[in-house]
Amino acid sequence: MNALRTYVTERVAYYLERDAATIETDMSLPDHGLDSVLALALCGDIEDHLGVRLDPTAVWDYPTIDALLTYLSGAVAEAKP
Amino acid sequence: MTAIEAVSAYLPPARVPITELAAELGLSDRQAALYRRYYGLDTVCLDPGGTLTDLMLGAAGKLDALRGREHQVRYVIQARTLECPPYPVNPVHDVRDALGLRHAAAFTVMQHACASGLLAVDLAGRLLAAGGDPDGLALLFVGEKAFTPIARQIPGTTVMGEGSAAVLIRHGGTRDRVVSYATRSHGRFSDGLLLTGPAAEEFELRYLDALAEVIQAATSHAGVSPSELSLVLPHNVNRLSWIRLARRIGLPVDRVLLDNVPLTGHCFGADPFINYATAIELGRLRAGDHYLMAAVGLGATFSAMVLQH
Repeated sequence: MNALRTYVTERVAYYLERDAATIETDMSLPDHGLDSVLALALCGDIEDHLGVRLDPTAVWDYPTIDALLTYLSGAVAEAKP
Repeated sequence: MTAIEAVSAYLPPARVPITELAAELGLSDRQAALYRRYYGLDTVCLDPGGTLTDLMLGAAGKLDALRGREHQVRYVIQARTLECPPYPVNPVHDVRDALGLRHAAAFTVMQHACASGLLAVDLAGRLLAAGGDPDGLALLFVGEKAFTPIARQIPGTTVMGEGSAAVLIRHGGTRDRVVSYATRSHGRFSDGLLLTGPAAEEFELRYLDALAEVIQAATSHAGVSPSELSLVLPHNVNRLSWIRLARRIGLPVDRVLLDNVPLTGHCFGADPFINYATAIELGRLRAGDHYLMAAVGLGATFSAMVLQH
């Protein structure tokens, strides 16, 4: 889970062109400045990284990194055979 | 009470995959793939050699209910998103003349951008009611040419397509009665496509709330709840925003007619009316059903109209 947290935080930092250390995982992604296009890109990255299909509204339904990670842990568990 | 007598939709036959348009739209292959995956956008209809007049006449040619009733038409209205073409180009007058409707007053409304079609339905009903002719009709045209770079897309949101609808409107009658109409203009977003920075972020953040609010206002005024709507005929900006909106207002997403999103893209103000024609073709409306048309115009106007089939 820590590895996934690091991955998601780094992708958010990449899209926001900021240092990952400045990304607060309990702050909403839109409040960080992540717009809809970047949110779509983040969804795609996570799908590719985990090899799972996400609910298309996941980034909007779980708008903080903490909430998204909780959702992702469930999605990964469901995807396991 | 205003009623929609008939609707015809016209889509140019050429369907272009958005992946083929990516370069000219400034989208990376990755972004185009994300648009397909999440937004449900796939192809758009385009007619590069055609004019706006062609687009309007294409819809008029399919409006069988107009035949033999031309003399009843009092108003020919074009509801536009984009600014009118330069003088002396005047599509609404050209179409009025081509259809033998010179006796009718012809004009354009565009103040609500892509929501102008719903404004025009309301306006036409009011004009016909004031005119006092029980047989009077208004002929409304919606749809645009996506012919300039700024008219090809709403960045980060949708890709525009070319399609049109012709709508015959009357005052009175029992078919497709307009039960309520709600509209809100949020002037602080008046820069539309030119919004940047905090204002653009605020518009994106407030978009769903504003659309949900106007839908709830229209349904409340009509005496139904959103969950009692048989169908929503949306603007076709993208599938994702409507999934989120449906969840927000407690409406099963399968009651939002999203079939045309992957086929047409966003055809400006024509979307709800093109979707109406599709709903009729698919048998998605039954007598007595309450349904809702919804549209958002950049600038920014949020509009919703409840009708009864």
